[in-house]
Amino acid sequence: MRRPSVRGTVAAGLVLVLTAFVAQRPVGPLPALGPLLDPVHGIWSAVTTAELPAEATATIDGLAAGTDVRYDDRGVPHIFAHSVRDAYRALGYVVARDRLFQLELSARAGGGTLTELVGARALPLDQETRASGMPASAVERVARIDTSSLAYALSTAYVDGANAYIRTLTPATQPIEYTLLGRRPKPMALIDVFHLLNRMGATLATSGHELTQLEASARVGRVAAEALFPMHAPIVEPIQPNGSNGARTERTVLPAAGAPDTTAVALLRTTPAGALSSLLAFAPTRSDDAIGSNNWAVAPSRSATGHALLAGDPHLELTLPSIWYEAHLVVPDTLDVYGVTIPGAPGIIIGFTKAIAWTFTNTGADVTDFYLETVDDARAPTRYQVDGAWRPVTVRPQQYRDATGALLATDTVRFTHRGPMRKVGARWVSVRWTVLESMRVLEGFEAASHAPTSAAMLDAMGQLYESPAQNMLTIDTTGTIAIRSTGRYPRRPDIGRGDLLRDGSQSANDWIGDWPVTDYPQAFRPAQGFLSSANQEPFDPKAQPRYFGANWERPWRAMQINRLLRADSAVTADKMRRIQTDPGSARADLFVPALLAAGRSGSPANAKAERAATLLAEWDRRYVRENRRAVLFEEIMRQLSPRLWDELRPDSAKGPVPTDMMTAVLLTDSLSTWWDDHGTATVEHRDDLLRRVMASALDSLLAARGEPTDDRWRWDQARVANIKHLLGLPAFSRNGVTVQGGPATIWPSTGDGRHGPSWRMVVEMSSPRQAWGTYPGGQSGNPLSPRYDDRLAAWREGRLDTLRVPATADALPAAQQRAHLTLTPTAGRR
Amino acid sequence: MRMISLGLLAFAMALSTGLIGWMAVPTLALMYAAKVQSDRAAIDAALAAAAAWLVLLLRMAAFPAFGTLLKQLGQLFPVPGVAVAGLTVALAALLAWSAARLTLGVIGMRRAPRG
Repeated sequence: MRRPSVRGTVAAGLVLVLTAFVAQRPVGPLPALGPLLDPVHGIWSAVTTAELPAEATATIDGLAAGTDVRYDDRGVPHIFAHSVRDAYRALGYVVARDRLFQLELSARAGGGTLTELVGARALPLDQETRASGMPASAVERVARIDTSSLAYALSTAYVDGANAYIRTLTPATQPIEYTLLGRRPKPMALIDVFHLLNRMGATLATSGHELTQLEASARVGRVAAEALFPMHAPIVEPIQPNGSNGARTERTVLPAAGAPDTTAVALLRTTPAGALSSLLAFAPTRSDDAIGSNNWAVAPSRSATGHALLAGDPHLELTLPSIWYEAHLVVPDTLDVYGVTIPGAPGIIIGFTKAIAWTFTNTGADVTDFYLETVDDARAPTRYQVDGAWRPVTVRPQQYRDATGALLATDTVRFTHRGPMRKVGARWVSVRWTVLESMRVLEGFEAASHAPTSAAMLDAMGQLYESPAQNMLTIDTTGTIAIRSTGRYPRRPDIGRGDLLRDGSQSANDWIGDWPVTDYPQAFRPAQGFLSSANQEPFDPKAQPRYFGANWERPWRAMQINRLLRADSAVTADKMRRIQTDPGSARADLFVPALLAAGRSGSPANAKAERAATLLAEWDRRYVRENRRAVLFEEIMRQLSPRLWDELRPDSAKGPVPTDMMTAVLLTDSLSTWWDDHGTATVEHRDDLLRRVMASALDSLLAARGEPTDDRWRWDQARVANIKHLLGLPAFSRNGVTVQGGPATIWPSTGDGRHGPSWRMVVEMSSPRQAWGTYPGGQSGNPLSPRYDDRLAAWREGRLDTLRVPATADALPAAQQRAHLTLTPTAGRR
Repeated sequence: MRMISLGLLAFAMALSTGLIGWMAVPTLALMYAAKVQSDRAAIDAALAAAAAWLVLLLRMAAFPAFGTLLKQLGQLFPVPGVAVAGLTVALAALLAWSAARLTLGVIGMRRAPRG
């Protein structure tokens, strides 16, 4: 061997150090390249787990007997167990097998420990989560859980099952996201179940009423504020049928804008609206169109087959993998339930058995209140005052760490007896929220899985389910259709309102109990032969005027669903499916005639407005993908709102804006001062403003999209669904999915495309039962799997798959079986 | 003879990558260079490492999802997926070459007459 040069040796040393460094340590956004690119254990190995093996076996601690899992050709696991506990153990196993990263991410999101998985970038999110009180509430609830309860037994069984799978994982078989992040999965814990439930509670929270009232009062006075953001919806199409054959519009004359309410102005001076809104951060701010859950049921008297029919259509944030996971649990003579679960939640959340079927929409009732507290120290309070006496503030220091355990940040979360307390401007405000106090949630779902009738199911839910409040719709084999808005609803003192900031120094402002179940919105075997809900106000205020919530979701979807159901006395399962994607719009049907009338009238003539009216008249008011006129209507509506409600935004700053339901009410009052655009010297009335906005909207569209014949006017060029991967990675996301439907249609499309139908299901309670369903995505959480997004095309087209419900393992034909998993007890550890 | 030795080294690197992980590559290269002490040891180690990881990658390429992975890697990283595969092979080669070359240099310096 020749003598190597010193220079070459030094260079080789440097190359080795550098290469080993980037192989061993993360550099910038890149994970360590060694473990990442390792062709056996790194990212390349993800291809080996993309498909489920045709045959597999595994052991689970605590399993009482062998459990058979058959995956059908849609990737749905059918779990055949000998006990309910074993079925839940197996459920935990198969959910972890397909969705482990999602399971951990959801739990960490609810627990405020995302930084330990994804690093410092998640710190603001974790700080917000902890300040909301959710993680502390989960700790308290786990400490208080009755360890002899069924819910505890099933939850621990589920966790055991998930952990049995996690223990089998190596770097080569773990989900690809862990490899990309340079992390390893953490074992699941019982508290993760509560973190997940809290997270769902936050997702479904609707609690901005106090802020809306306050801000509006500070600008247009209390009287106008209460009229614009009313306690009761002025267009009445309630969930609990009121005997009407259509929506009723209350002939309300909106009071003119008044002088700012001085109390509200003073309060906002010390507690700015921007800071106040941070209090509501756990109730994510969504556009109106992001809310869109629907359900409806048809009694045998109105169905073509003489069997009850049910359609479920919950709308949530669209993600990949989907929030839902389909599963079927069978325990002979005990349990046979099919439906969707949320990874991390032990049980079937929405589904059907041999006897009943059920589904939910969010109730939107007000279950959150805010209290202005009097504290001893404005900077770091240790006591707060109630009825003249000081009470100790519970102080919980928080630490935020990264995956290596390094401390990233610290802060402090404070609690009064009501809940978490935060500083808002110069004031301290505490929050009381039913979700933070709920002990009973999973028991309700478990009971639903065993209920012999719809009545029994609703009764069980009434006793065993607290939050988040849901409009629970159910049908059964006896032909019953029924609905009840179930959850825990607080009773407030005095006037009972929950949309006003309350003085925390008076205990008289605290909740005084809960609504009795008998007072909940509900209907059982209604004479009209159908039921529906679409997040609208559940009561007709004439039947039940008490405060239940405020500023309700607009009734457009409910009106459209009911219109279609009223018009059909021979409904089929396929018609139920078609309603789920119906492109018609009660909103457009109400507004377009008014726009046409305004655009074609007026003196002097407004040529642009007339052209806009001509174009709008060509529209059939259906939001189908190829339509070229819906964009014009939506642009008009978009421009109308800020000009109409300019009194609420005098400085163009952010502020509360009434919904288009209030605009619809105002259409009947053409001379109302609200129509006046304060940005002009003249005084406008209704048609003046409508014409101006129509002309302006047309100009905007011509500039942005060209002539109306241009393909850029197509509706699918304006609205798409963007289904993001949980980490937002574009490679694993499916963006720009063209969809049917528009704002306020039964399938509402949102501006950002991030929300939509998360699980569509139709069930017919025939014998045998028949069911169809799909969701956007697929059963697998592995982006490399063909089962990752195999349902997306059908979902986009509004098609549903036939759901297979084999009664026994052998009843699933071989041609429909994709994989087989045998679960056995760990030797000697039953 | 050299080809046999190269083949054996590549086989050992592939096997030990499976057993230990990526660190097996520079470790084996170091041991190989120390053993053979040939001028070609560094190049041989690099070639063997590249071959070993290429074979391991080809093994993964037999899975139907490999094409999907390549496509997605191209979106995850600012280079095409094939380039990520190339980087993988290059990483192995670089680790092996530098470890072997450093070893040869250190041994050479220790053998060199002082003064």
